[in-house]
Amino acid sequence: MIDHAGEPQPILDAAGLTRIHGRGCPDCLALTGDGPGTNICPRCRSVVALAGVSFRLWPGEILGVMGESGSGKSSLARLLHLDDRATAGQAWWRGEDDDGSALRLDLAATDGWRARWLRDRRLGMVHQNPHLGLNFAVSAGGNIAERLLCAGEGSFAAVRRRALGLLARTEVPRGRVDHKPGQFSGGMQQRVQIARALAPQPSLLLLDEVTTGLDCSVQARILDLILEIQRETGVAMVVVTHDLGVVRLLAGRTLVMRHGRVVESGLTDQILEDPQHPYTQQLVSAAL
Amino acid sequence: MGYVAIRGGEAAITEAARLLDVLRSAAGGEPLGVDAIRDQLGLLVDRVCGEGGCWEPRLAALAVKQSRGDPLEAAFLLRAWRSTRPRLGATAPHRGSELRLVRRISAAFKEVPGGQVLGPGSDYLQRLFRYDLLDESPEAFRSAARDWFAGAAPAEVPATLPKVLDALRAEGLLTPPRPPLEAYDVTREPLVFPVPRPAALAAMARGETGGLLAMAYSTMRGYGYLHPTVAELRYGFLPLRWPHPATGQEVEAGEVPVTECEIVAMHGQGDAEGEPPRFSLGYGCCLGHQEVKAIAMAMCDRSLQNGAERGAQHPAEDAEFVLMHIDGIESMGFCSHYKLPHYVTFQSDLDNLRKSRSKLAGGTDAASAALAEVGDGR
Amino acid sequence: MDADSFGFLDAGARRELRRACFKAVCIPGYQVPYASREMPIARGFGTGGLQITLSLLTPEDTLKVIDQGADDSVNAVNLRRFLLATCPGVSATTRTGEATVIQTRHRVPETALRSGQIMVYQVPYPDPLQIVEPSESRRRRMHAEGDYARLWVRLYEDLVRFREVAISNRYPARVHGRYVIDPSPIPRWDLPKLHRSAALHLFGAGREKKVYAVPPWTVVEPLAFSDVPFQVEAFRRADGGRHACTRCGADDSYLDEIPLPGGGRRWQCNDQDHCDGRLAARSPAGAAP
Repeated sequence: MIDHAGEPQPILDAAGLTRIHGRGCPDCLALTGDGPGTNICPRCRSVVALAGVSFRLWPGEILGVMGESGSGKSSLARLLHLDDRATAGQAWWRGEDDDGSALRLDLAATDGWRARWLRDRRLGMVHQNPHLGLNFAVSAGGNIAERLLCAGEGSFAAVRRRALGLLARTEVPRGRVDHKPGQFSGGMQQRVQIARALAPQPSLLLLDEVTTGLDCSVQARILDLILEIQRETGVAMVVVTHDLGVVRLLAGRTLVMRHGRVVESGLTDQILEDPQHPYTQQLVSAAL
Repeated sequence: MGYVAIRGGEAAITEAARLLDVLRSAAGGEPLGVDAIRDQLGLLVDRVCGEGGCWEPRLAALAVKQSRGDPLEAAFLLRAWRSTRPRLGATAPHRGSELRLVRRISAAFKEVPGGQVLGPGSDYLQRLFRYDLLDESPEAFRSAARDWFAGAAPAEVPATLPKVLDALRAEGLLTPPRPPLEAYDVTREPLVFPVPRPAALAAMARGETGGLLAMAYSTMRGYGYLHPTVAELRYGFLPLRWPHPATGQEVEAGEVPVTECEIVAMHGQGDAEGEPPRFSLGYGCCLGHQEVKAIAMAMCDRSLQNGAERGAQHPAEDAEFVLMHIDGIESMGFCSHYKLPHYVTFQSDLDNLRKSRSKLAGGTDAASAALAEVGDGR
Repeated sequence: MDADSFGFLDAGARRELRRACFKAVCIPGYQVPYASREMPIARGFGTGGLQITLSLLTPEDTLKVIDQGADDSVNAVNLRRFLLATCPGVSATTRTGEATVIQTRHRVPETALRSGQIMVYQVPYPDPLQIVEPSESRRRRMHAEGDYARLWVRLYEDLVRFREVAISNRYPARVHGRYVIDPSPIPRWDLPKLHRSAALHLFGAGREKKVYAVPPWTVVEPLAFSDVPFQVEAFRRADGGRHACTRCGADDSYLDEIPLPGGGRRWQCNDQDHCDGRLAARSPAGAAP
């Protein structure tokens, strides 16, 4: 994306994103984090899910967010998908409005209407749990149709055609378009989720542990598919995972998170080859 | 001539009403006295008053007679009448401790200050028929009360007693009483969710006993976990205080029988930082002597508080699910409405089904064309 | 009831109802909550429509009450009796053209409505989203965000499975380009009559305690895909033609299908007044068989 001055602009510019569950107190941030080794405030028992997370995401980039469970990485994905609200901080999204004009919105401060517009037309999310990302009462085609209809498609034939195309692209046999998600294997459910997320041609795709729990061979094929789709469509992605292998394969840059903080960030290769933070060193050596 | 059969017009309605009256008297016998219904079918009258939402036992008895003993119909009659009455105002909050007790029990303690007052209750009855009531002589009927009063000692129990939970509260083991919330008149304000607790309590107080019981029973069977103990169940007469029109001073304007139940449920974390855990409370209170309803209401109240705090995980924790489905008048009315003719909509259903079958058998319409791409589509 | 009270409801209730109606007219299609009163008629039998009618009627009004298209079906008779008894001075009619207020269940009259007339509908389910979402608090959010995707998906899935949207009556329609309404259980046949109608249409759901409106001349569009047009009931004969009323001969009215004792069936106008009117116009004597 190019602005008037000709400088490339990030599609996402997050600064100081903080999310505290609970009442919070003035000492929450000081008493949690890497030093104290917890994300639960000992004074008020609030959970500091995210604290001062800042990063930029550039058009067409895949950014890895790596950490253990409880590190805040899924909280970050929820915030970026507007399923949750930040307690503090900003996340500026840049893109186009419906009429093609340039638009800049703070994801941490949108109203309900704009949030729905963003989710329907500009963002895509793939969950680890297909029950969160798919409606199991509706066919695979219907799941994709829902996104297309949200984005304003009004023709039944076009909805049908595009749903079939998206399923083909994610390597789901066309003949299964009218089957319900419960009739699919785990890997196939993730493919349908990806097809559904891609339906409105979003500018930002969020992937939360999409291959966790799948067989290795299925995992590899889905990761390849994600890479192919990224190259074809140029969609920017945030890939949340606990798996070093996933960021190694997909992400050019990676944030390493712990206790709601970013403890290290940089080029993925560099982080994996020469981790600076003791926690990252521990993660990398454990994976070897 | 099916078309004409559903048209009865004026005459049919009048005849239907007449026939109901015929059924009431066709077998002969003595007409039921309204006072006898009020006095001898007291629990039914209490239930009708409770679900009807006003204390008017003589009209409730008339409603029972008029509806031939259908409690839902009877409560409906009372409610329809109630909605034509002006609302004169609202009293200041009254306390359960003001109740002039007839009965008061606690399951939480062996002995409670003031003592357990068993009073009238069917809990320990052996449910065996008393065939002597089949043909009860007026003399025997009258002697039951006469003999009891003759042998009764002057009251040894004071009219009011402290609440069982006062001691626990003084010890800090209970959630401290919150300042009274403003009363919510569910007959004047629609329930728009989320609703405050007074609205939930008001809706449950006029809820249908069976409906409320089913919800509460689901929590007892594992759809929710309360681990309740009946701290206190009391039945008695609540003196109603009302400001004197001339002086503005509160005076006793009458009394109304109520059943009140407080359950203590499993303890939870204190509200604020560093607070020790406490017991939580569920509260039920309804018109007349209706113990099952009061207990069920208290459990539902506690269950709904759980739902409000951490999101509903069970049906009885979902305020909308509970409060929208326990009203007997509304659910009974809507269930009955399915008896009304629906032939216009059914005709529409028929047409739709025929159309769908003809298209599936080989349609040339747009939907069929779009679906042809992957064969059958089903 | 006090002898001098007109319209059964007390003044406060009538005022509240009228305010709810005004609000409903101002926000076409939006469901306005109100404190529905208990009526001496059971929930589900038209208490929502009844309360609106009671709050609107003045002694100068001419009232028509229909149920299933008929003025003399038991429920219509019952409601009319109650309305006339509680609103002295109001006159009753069966003629659509003569009425100023028409309370109805399940039908819109065939005769075109005119400016100044008010249609009052009895509504069992006020929310079109009820078929896809049971929780009212979630539905309110969906309406606020204009989120009707799951309704559209329902249409998609029906077309895939049945080649036809399986919603025959209560067909959802978007009002004034914004809120989607449940038009009450009128057949599809009647839905186009709401579009840019000269009359005011008020919908009352007594049990669910909501009022909503389609003001005069408002755009009302049935939810439909651009390439699969909304279709009304066809009353198709086996030979492809259309059934006609065996009484007045109309082939452009909503029909009742009446099974005959010896097998076979007869078709007849559902709107009794419309059918009678056509018969009267045909034979100067005006006698209906």
